[in-house]
Amino acid sequence: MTQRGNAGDADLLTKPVDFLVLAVLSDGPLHGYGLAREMTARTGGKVKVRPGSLYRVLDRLMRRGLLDKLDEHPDQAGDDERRLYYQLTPLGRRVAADEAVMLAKVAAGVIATAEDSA
Amino acid sequence: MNTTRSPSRQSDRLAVLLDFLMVFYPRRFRLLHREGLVGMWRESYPTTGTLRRLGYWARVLGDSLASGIAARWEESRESRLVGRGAVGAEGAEGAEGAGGAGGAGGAGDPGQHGKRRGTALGVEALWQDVRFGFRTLWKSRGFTAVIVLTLALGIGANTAIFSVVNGILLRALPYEDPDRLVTLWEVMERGSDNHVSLHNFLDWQEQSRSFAALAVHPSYSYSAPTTILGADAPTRVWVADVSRDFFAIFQARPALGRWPFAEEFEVGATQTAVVSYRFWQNQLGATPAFNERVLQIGSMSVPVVGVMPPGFSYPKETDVWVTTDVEPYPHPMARTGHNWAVIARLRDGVSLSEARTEMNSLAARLKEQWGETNDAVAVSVTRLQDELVGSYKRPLYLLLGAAGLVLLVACANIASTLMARGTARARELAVRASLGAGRRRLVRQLFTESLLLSGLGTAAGIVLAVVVLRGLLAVGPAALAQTGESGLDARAMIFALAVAFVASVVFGLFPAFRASKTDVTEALSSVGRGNAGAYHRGLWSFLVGSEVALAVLLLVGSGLLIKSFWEVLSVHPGFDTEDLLTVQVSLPASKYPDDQSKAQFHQAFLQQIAETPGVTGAGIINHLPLSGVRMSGQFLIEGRVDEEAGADYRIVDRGYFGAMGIPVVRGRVFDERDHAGVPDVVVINQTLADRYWANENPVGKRIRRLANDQHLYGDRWLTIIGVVGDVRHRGLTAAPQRELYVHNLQRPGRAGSFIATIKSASTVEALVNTVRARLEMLDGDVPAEFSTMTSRLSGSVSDRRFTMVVLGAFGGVALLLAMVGIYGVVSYAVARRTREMGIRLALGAEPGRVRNLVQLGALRVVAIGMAAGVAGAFFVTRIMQSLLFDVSPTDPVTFGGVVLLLFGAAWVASFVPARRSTRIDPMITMRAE
Repeated sequence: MTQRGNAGDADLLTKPVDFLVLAVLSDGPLHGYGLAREMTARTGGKVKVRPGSLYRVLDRLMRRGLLDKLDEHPDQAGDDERRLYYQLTPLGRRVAADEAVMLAKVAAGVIATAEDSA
Repeated sequence: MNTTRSPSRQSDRLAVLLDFLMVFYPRRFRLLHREGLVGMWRESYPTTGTLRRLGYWARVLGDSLASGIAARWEESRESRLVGRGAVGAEGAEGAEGAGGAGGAGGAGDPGQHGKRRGTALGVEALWQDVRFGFRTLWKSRGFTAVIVLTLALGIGANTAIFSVVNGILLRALPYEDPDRLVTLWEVMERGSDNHVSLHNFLDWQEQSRSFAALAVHPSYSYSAPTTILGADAPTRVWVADVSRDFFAIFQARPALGRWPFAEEFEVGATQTAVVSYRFWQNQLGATPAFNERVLQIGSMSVPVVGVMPPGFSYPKETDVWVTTDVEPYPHPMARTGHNWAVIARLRDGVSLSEARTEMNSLAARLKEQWGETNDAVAVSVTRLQDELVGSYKRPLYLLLGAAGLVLLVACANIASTLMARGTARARELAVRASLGAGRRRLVRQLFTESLLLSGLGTAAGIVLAVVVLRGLLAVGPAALAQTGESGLDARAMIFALAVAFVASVVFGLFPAFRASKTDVTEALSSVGRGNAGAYHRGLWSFLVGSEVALAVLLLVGSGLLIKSFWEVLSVHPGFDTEDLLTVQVSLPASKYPDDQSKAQFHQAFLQQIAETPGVTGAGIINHLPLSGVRMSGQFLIEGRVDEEAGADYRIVDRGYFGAMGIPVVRGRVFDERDHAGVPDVVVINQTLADRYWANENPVGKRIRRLANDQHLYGDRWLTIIGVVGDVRHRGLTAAPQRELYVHNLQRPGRAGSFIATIKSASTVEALVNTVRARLEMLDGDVPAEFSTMTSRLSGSVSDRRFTMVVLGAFGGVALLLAMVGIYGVVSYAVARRTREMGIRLALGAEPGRVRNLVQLGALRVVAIGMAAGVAGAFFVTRIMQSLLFDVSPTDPVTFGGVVLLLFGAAWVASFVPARRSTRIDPMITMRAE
């Protein structure tokens, strides 16, 4: 699945939802349900993603080599065994970081403009 | 132990269902994410609440469908890009890659045109798909016609019935806050609803707290259209005397003029009138100077002060509303005279059930207070909307359900036809795929074709709905006419489109994906043998079996209604309906103020009619049988102290029984010996005689104190002079009531409005003009309404006929569709097994046996479907109970007949294609190998 991963440099720019997934997973592996919950929480309830859509994003990111399935799930008390965890690949980590820096620059520009005009 | 088992079984079922929905996703995606996706959905399954669960499944279905299609789309795009080695460009999100822009014939392979990808391909490719789709459909016109027609039937039937439901049941009444409008009825000791007595109403008005306002108008059972002079021409219209708050209750605004002032409702004040918009237009010249008009209503002169807003017509078809006072009349039994209809508006914040509770306790209090002199024990409070359309609810929802079944049958049919075609096209698709056409391209092409089909079918369906709706309004009861105004409105159109969309997605998308999945090598190598695979055959049998089962349901339903209708028509109404003309006449009270002048008119009129050539008998009555109007009341029987007798009663002249052909069972009917001034006489019917004089001869017995007529007869005795046969006054399906007839000359009053019944030696149509001319000669100010007894009889069963005709048509359509389905399956089976048949025939099998082999396979499916249908019908027909007459919902004759009919139809539908199998030339089939 990840053999095409090297091509990732060519298109760093990801869709907002893709970036959100990458951002959440930067903090560590999560399962689908937890990921969706975390995405909603971090956006103050603005992003509510349906399971089908979420897994399409996960699938897309996996095919681009940014994500991996985690074979052994993290050791947590009372964890449901059926849950599958997703984590960033080294490439995914890099893409997420690059993207974050770029977005921060863009955001800084916007904020500056807004303050000037205020 | 037990406590843990149930949820786990439930969660197993949940997992299976969710797992099933994964079919929407592409295979690779499914293998990879199935577990995670199902797990995630399970987390959010609501543990309680049916509605919430429904919402949950709608979300799961919607999300799976949308995401599944998107994932397939993405996947097919990427796989093609990868296949072409275009890996580096995979992130080019805008590249729709539809390809094939210039591909001649459109079956082309997008790969060849990869370079031109990314230009304005979307529209061009779509146009190409559409063109190609049309060509494909045109090439197989028969197939296209069958599908379009089937879809049109399904959509047309549903849309037409929905329009009727929409027009009658769903449309809000044209009044302000119509949900707050209620009617009030008194409930008698035996549980039946009755009109309200004025005194009880006055107490309600004073003591109840649930209503913003209450008003009364005289109940219609006691009135007939009134002749009005002073408008552009003498006319007979319905007039309602309404009490003070009537106009306030509807919260309407007059279109012109004003509502009557409060003092115009007071005793002794000059009464004023409000006329309907229609009346203002047709009878008052539609001028703003309407308020200069004074109408002659009865003996009163009533100035017009206002015009109702258009469409306002409560109660019934009222055209003139006249102010009336509601002064109590001193009479000990006043609370048993149920002559008033009550309408009210619920006070804000008061619910219907709160109003019911309050009114019932109020009624109980009044009953306690007044004892025997008050015969109402409770009050029923009904929403106006429910009262107006209540009786249509069940038949209309039944028909809507039946239309839904027809749609299901149609969908099953289309699905099986599309599958047959998909299989037949497997070779074509395989060739195109092997030439490099992408899977998405093929799916899109097939889906485009499905969309074209459903587009055509929807268009045809809407046209059909318009035609059907017109037909329905023509055969339907009068109440349907109000649907005509709304017709196919936006709501009905949206409904039609929604129905079409659901049908085409379900049965367009799936065959498309299925067909595109066909393995190229397998299809190319085996299509010659046409091996469809067990899955296909099973699905197919399921579809045809379902069609048969649904057809059984519809046919049994319509069969029961047809049989009921037959039973109803074979009921003898108790009089001869043939060649009987009825003329409804209302004398304007201003010209005929007293009994004497009315009697003179009667006499002159009857004289004129008797002299008309071709008339063999004529009589008059105050309310015709089947008219829905009746009077009833109690009376006392001489020599019996405790018994309180009661009957419906009518006023007739001496010619009536002869003209109607009502047989005299005992004694005599009225003749020239009976008139005003001699001892009063009465004729009773068989049912009344059987009830009170079961073992004796009633002729010569005497009764008195006829309920509402005490002021006419005083304490005089009426002698029974004869017994006549029962007449079904209340309708063919209602048992005959106890009835008595009094003589019109001995019981004057209320004689201003009557119906003449004229027996003709020839057809009644020829009589109409002569009678009309003679009436005009007698008095040009007396309008009359003509109709035949046959049409009245047929009008009395029009609701029933409507339901029967529509359900019967649905049953017929379902039968036809099932036959088409069976024909299709057997044809396909024969085509598929040509080689096998050829070998059998070559080896010496008898052609008949080969045919049976094919046919039996199909009939087995039919039998299973039929068994399921019969079992279903046993339960479903129970909801029809109230619509049936003299027929059990599980009537064995109907069930048996339907089974025979369907089996016969199935046999024919399977025989024709099966016969083809015997004509297979073994040599040709073998050579094809």
